[in-house]
Amino acid sequence: MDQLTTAQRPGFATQSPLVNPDRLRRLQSVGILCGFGAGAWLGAAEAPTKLVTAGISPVVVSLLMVAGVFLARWSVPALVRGTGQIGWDLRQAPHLVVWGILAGCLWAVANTLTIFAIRDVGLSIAFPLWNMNSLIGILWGVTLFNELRNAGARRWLSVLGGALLMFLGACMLAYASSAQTTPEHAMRGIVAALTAGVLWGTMYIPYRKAYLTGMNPLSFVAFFTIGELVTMILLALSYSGGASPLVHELLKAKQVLFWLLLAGFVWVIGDVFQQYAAKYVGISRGIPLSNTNQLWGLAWGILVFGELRGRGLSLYAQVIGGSLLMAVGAGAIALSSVTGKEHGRWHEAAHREGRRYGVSADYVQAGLAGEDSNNETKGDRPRTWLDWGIVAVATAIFIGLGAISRVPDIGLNWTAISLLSAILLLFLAACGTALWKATRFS
Amino acid sequence: MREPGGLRRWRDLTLIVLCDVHFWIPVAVLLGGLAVLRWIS
Repeated sequence: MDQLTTAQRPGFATQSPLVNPDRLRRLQSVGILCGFGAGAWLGAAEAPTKLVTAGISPVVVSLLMVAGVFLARWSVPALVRGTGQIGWDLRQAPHLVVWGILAGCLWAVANTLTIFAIRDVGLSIAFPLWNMNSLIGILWGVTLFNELRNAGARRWLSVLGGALLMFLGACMLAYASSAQTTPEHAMRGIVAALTAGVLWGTMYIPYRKAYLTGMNPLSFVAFFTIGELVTMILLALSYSGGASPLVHELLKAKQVLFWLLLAGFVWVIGDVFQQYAAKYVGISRGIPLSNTNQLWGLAWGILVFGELRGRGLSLYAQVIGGSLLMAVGAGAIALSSVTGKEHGRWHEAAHREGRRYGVSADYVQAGLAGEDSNNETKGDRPRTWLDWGIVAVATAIFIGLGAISRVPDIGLNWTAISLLSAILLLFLAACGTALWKATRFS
Repeated sequence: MREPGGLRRWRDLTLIVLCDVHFWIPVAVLLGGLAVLRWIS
């Protein structure tokens, strides 16, 4: 096997200088900002799904969201970097296609499990259970990718304590928002939610593998979504009883297709920021930060859809208390910056990956430093007809479905929608500008 | 040293992926997830 001997070849990843401290601090600030931006956008993705009140099977809801995700995951990278850059990444680290597809499969199965968990124990109990994925992420980050190694006791305490505080806050929010449910299959629902958490936590192994090797997040998500869509179609076919019943259900849902695809689109923006957070601050810090999505989901629920309206003061006290706990936990993690020593251990893990898969040292190093590895296109990324074609098709699908969609007749607080949408746009502008200035979306 | 051709390169990369212990952790978790899904549905 020629590839196994690449460690000895000149030009392959063996050793490279560490990223300088100022650059490291800047990349980490961008990563932390992206983690918070991811939380806001991932939380907002729940809002369009709340507009879907028709009797549509949960698996079909999930499939349609994934279809929106698929459209966004090809059109956004085409617009931001061009598909030529995806081809460049593919040539540098082709093995990551397998890892991307595997991560997509994990996501799809986890997402389907959450549907069953919500059915059996309700969103309020299921949400904090699957949000323990951040603890699983920390476990894999530490054991497989040298995260938090040589970080010192204070940073260990900040990250682990912060993640636990966030978990407690999530439980408080869940308890506060729980309706008086009497779940018949509580154990089944709890197992489903916990399994989803393990699957999502483990999904970060391929993420970290890709970003340590130097892969651009916008390229990785394009491969990820293939596994995601194929697995979701297979699951939907299986649960619907074949192609014909599935098509029938999809036709039945045509008036709400737009909202579900929109939810998928919003989710992708959040996920892209989550990917950049995972790249620049690691999974042990990036994932807990993006788990603030529960806070934003609750904000949309309470402020826009009037959930919890007319309930007692103690309930609001619980919501505020839980939110504060989550915010303190997220703050502790955000402040536990990566030291030079710890980043040195990241380098070791990155070069181990480089040697194993025969990836160019320059490519690995550029990825760690947040730089464009493609010297031919540095600062100049011309779009092709394919890029504009992908963007045009995705836009046309959204406009077409928007034209036949129906706004459900439910009370919405438009002031709150405007406020929360403005916050989302602020996060989009702040994260987008920071990523562009610091990394050119590398 | 001979540079591997396209097909050979993919075959070699597949072997390296399969020999990577990290690969089998998500695969095992995925299979476990599918088993749980089958059990609860």
